[in-house]
Amino acid sequence: MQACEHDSARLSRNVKRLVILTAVVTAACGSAEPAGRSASATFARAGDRSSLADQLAGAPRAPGQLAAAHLRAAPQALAAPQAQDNDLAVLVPLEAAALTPQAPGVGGPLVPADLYARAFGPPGALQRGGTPAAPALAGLRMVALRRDPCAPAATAGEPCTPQLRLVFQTVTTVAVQPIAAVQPTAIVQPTAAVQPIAAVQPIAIVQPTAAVQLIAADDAVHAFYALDRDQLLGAVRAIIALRRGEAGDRELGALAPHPLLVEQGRGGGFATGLEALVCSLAGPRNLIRLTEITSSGMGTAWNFAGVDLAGDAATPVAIPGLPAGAPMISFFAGFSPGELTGEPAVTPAPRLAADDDLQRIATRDRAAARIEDPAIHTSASIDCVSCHLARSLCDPTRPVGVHMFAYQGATPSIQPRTRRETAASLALVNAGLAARYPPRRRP
Amino acid sequence: MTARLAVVIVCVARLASAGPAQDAIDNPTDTQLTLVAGLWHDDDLTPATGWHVYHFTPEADGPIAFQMRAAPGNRDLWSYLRIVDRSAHDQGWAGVGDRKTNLCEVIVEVVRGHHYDVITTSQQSAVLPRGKRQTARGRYTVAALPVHLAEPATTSAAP
Repeated sequence: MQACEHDSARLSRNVKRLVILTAVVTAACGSAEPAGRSASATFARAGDRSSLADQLAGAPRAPGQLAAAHLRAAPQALAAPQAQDNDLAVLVPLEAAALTPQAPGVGGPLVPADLYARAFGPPGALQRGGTPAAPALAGLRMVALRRDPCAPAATAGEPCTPQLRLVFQTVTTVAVQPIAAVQPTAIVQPTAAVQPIAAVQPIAIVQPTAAVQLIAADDAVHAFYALDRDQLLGAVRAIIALRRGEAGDRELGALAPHPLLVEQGRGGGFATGLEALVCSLAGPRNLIRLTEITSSGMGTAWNFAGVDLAGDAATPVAIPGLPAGAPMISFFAGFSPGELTGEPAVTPAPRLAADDDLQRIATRDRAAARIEDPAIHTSASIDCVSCHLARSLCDPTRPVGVHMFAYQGATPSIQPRTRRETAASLALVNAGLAARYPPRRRP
Repeated sequence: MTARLAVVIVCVARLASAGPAQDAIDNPTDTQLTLVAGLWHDDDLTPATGWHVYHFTPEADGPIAFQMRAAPGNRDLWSYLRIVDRSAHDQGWAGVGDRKTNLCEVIVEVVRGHHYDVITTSQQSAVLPRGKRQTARGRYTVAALPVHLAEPATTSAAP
């Protein structure tokens, strides 16, 4: 489904939205190509957050272009270009999750099938030890996006890179009434481009009815795109303009399914503009990493793997604490809900400092607090299982949830670490925006 | 994370020969899949596929808990595992011990480099009455799990 193309046509009916969208696209990608996979979009941290903010606030490489776009779109936006949490991290309601990996991005689909196959093997190919195949591309929908000004963020002195991360999950439908009660017109039929896979039926149109509920499968694919700092700030300005165009200066509150997407739905102006923005920022040229989460053990085990993409090479992501070359890490919860009886729980077992070892029951809460603190740990310092399972291991009475910013079935899953990362990113971005937008001079 | 979940019935027999070949019940389906210690593989058993054969070659000596679990309450598929050490012409098997968990386990002291066939099927395969053909049907999961076994305490003989 080429959501971006369809939505562009829809825009022509609304002059206001068209003006904003023009500004969005121009601001986001009109000034420069996204940073290539081999481009040096990295900048080193000088030691603390304020120094990074200084770098974010540095002189734009293409001065004038981004500002000009916003002047055309909404001059009043220059007075208060402060980002909100939901500008940096957008959780898309499942009913509005329409963007697919095949949607046209910069230089090709957002996630080209050949790169996906290079990362995870041919479609349907089981992963290591017979763990599940990577989710079928055709069933994936973008359920979230995150803008990170400094990935992998946090640790002082470490190099970091501005990134856009798209989170995809397999979105399916489940009947919530007996089949006999379902009206034929309410059943969504897969399109030719969306082939059924295994036991799930990916859908092309995501409008639930009384008889059909949308749920996300217990899987995920994360696509990471390198940006440079101008692109990142431009994208933030663009979404601020888009948000203000739809909702004025309203505070949208803490992270949650994006309120404007909830209110307006898939066809609304915010969804249309957001999809156009994503498609103008991401594509095969700046796709630098793909990661996946799959579930096995009949819903009791989760497998984490990923590859870094550079040119034609696809290299397994180096997972902290694991031996070099270990391609994946897995967590087994065991078969007694609420008890975490899996043995071994983590395969392979990572080498962890005692303070970070969630297996030590006596200090588990303290370890989780450290792991969930983006100022202490990042994906470069702690393994996937420790990070994604920290919450669940602290409270084993609740169903295990591995999704940091996505969906567990039909329920939004936003973990504390994501809120903290977003807050830290927000501070950096707003510092950068403030420096780039000095107060207006009085005439 | 040490609790064991199922009551396990394990029987061990020594065979003159063992391997994935047709038996009195059905033909095997060799999945050509090699299990990796600690990772879970999900699959389906259908009547047409007989029993499934997986492969496992340990990288170290020590106890491995082979586990198979099917959906609790699935009367069409009670878990049943057979582990065959081709090198030693040895095998062990277990049927489901608790139908509420539908989990079975065979613990084998494996030898590094030996090849083990891990055979998943239904308990119905072993007890089909009156010549009925296997009708196992359903999803299951299987794994080879490294475990630590507690050694029995040594006691000195009474004087």
